[in-house]
Amino acid sequence: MKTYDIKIISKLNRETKEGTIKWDVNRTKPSSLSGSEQGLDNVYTAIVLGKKIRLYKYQYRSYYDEGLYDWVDSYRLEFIDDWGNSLWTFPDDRAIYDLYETVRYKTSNIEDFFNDYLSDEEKNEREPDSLF
Amino acid sequence: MLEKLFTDWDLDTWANVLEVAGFIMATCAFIIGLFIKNEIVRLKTSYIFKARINEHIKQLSQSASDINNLLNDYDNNKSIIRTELSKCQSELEDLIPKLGYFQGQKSRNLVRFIESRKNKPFVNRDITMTPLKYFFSKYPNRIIKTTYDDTWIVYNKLMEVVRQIENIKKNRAKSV
Repeated sequence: MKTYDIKIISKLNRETKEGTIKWDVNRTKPSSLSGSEQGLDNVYTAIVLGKKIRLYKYQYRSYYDEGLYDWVDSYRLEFIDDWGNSLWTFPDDRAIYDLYETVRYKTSNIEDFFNDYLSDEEKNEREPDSLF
Repeated sequence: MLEKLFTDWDLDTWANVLEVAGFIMATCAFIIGLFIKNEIVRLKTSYIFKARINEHIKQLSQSASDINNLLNDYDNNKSIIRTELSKCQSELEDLIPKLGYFQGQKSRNLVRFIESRKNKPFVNRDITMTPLKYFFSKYPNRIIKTTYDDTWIVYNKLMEVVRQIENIKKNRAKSV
């Protein structure tokens, strides 16, 4: 598959930042979790060109000795059908983590909060100029 | 000639024959020496690669993630992006000697691209530009300034380089 998946994930990332793709937030447990995998935080879904995409964070047990394990965080991006069943999963890649961070940033509306919260301060900074 | 060598024991003929034989052996030793040197260099590179590759992957992935976060507010983060590109460039320059010539091609191209971008003025993102204007101004703009798109190009190429290095690491772990 070469690096086409990176290009797709990167394009999703860019369009999410630019507001072209809107993500919905929900807490439904993804059906694609298997074995020791446990879903973490929110699950994000978006529709791109008629295809439904799901993005979520999960953790799984990584055994380093018999009975000894660490919980390792990972991220999954996949195409799903209307019932939430996984159709195809993107290979694990760092780009998915970046996309997850972008989606988290955009869906939390932190950007608006920053702008609103700092707007008063900017107004106060501008006011002394009007005296001269 | 055999008669001269083994019957007459002609020293001149023996000298000529041994001279030719010596030359052939020296040439063979030289070629073998080159192979051995090549093998030592390969082992040394492989050792350094194994010792340092995880750190390179970590640093480059971190740079990519930082650029991704900075792109959330590109206009206000232009100077930090420039610094991040420089960090990324020096990391890649450190990595390239540890890769083979062909394997390092992607990293070299990215270093050249960053080098051509980072010293040009970073301009604010133009959200009013029409697709047609964007299409025609894309390459002329690149001569004089660094744009929002250029940062995305670096990010994409960086992700590809990270993927490539991870694959090389996996392949070498299997082969050595």
